[in-house]
Amino acid sequence: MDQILGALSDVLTFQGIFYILLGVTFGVTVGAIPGLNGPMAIAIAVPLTYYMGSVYAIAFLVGILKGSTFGGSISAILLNTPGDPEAAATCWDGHPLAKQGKGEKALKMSLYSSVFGDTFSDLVLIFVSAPLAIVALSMGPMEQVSVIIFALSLIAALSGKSVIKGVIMGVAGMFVACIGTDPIMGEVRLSLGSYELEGGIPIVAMGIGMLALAEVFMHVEEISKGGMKEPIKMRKDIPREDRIVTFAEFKSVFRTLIRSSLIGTGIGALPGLGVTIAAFLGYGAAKRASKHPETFGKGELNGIAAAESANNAVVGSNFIPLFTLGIPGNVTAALIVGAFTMHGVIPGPMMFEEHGRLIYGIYMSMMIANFCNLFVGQISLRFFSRIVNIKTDVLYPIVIFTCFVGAYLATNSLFSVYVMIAFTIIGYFARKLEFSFVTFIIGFILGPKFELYLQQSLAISMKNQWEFLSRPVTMGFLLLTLITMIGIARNRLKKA
Amino acid sequence: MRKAEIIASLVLIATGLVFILYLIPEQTAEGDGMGMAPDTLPLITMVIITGLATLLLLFNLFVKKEQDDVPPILTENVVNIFKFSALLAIGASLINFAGFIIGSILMIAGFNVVSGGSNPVKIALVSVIPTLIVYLLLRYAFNAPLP
Repeated sequence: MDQILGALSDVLTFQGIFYILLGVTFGVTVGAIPGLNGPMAIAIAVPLTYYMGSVYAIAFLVGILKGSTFGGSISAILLNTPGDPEAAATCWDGHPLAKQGKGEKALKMSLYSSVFGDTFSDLVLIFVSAPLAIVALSMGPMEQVSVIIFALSLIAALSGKSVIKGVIMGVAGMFVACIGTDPIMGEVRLSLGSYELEGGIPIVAMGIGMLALAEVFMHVEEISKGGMKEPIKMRKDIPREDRIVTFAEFKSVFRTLIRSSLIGTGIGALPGLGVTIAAFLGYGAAKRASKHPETFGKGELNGIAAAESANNAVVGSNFIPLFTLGIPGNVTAALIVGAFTMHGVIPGPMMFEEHGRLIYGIYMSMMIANFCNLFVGQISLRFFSRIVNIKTDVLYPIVIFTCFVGAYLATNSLFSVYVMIAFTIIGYFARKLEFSFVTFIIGFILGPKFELYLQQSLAISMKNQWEFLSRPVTMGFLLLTLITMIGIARNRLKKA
Repeated sequence: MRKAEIIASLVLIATGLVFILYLIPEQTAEGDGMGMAPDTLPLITMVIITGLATLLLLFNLFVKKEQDDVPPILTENVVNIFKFSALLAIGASLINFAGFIIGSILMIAGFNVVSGGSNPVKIALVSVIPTLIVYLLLRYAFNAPLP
């Protein structure tokens, strides 16, 4: 109880609310601009959180995450260009509705569905993660090794089109994490004589390069090929009922909201599946369940509600594997690990024992961020609808400069800027060749943990690797990994 | 994509071999028999990467039937990404040499011109305003050390 009250006093302050509001506003703005997205915003914002208290830091990032997921729908609806890939399903019904002059209604439906999905999955996170953490705490290092292998394989297999490429990137991330000082013996590895590399590759600089800058360059290329689209303007002269979502309309999509939120929450809790899959599955399920599936794709409110509630429901539940096992389920969770680490917190089940107040603070921040998302969205829809068309020659130099500053702040030296440039090039080629950069970053985060648990396992078993197979949980996860990988690879081969 | 994947896998195999045969033995200690040696994980991961890259190469050579239509990477793409990276590195050096404000203004202006900006007033505004905002925010709100 003391921890809950402590967390309340941490979050319900002017500073706490201010950071959440700032995060949500920044997130919606970034999400609304085509070519920019949530992970990019998180990558740039993580170094700034170094100067905030740990609760405020995570609250700020959570605000960005929630805001950007909704923000992606703004350009999807008005421009037919999703700000985030997960908002692609929102285009199908949002844009036709906007073309009918009901852009504001579509945006409001998207906002309410986003907040509903967010709140639903946050509640699941709050009620589920503590009991799961107790189970996770009973697992030894051998079980942890097998869980990491399973999670990484699943992410590698599902996050791209090719299982081989996915695994290469996951393992490459683990390899890059080996650069620097060995966590067990303290030996310097692969530093190539550079004392800066002895501290390892800074995740923030790497994240900014791979996620933000590489994406900016890709988008600059796309625009130079196809040019920018003109957004549909939100007119004031249309009838009120075409601008708002009535209670009856909200009631009519309620079943869809529940169904999609369940789908999104389930998918978010599994590492590797991601927001985009949730949005498409939610949309597909709503269409199948509808009595009038022919209305989908023509401006159906259920379509917007399904896609938006599903993709936002992933946000909260994505923290379940992070809080209970210390495994980031997607790239934003991986970047948030970077923020936790900067504040001396190691994500995982021990957080519930060692940083209970922080955990409750995060839960409260998430719920407050949902209200802020609703508030900011409700009062600023018209403003956000204008920024979707911001000119690239104005936007991108500023984004590149912000990336530079973010990377610099990671280590307060130009070393991290050079790391960022190197990973921008790697990220760019990875995107072009369809190698999953998401798996790479998650592999990078899990590498040191994997090495530590493997070392502990070998010490416990006196270097007898067969001991792994004598433990039922370890054996179960290893078998599951094998079956999943073979299944996915066979499926992909059939499609090829 | 087939040709690009063949080239990518060859690059990965070559990189893997350089690491396995030269860089890892040269740059990491072998350990003293207690627990896992510091070079174990780098070696295992690099062997896996090289092995999978070989598999990818064989798959593209003997299994994949699809022919390339448009290559995923064109020469102009490669030139562009290196041009942008060079500009960023120059910007970083400028900030280091001329200080945060002047260096940042020049860097943003440079990127603005490269992105197609031609109006000098717009370029000046886009370069100066964000620089000052970021500078004031970082210096006075976050107390962050800047170059």
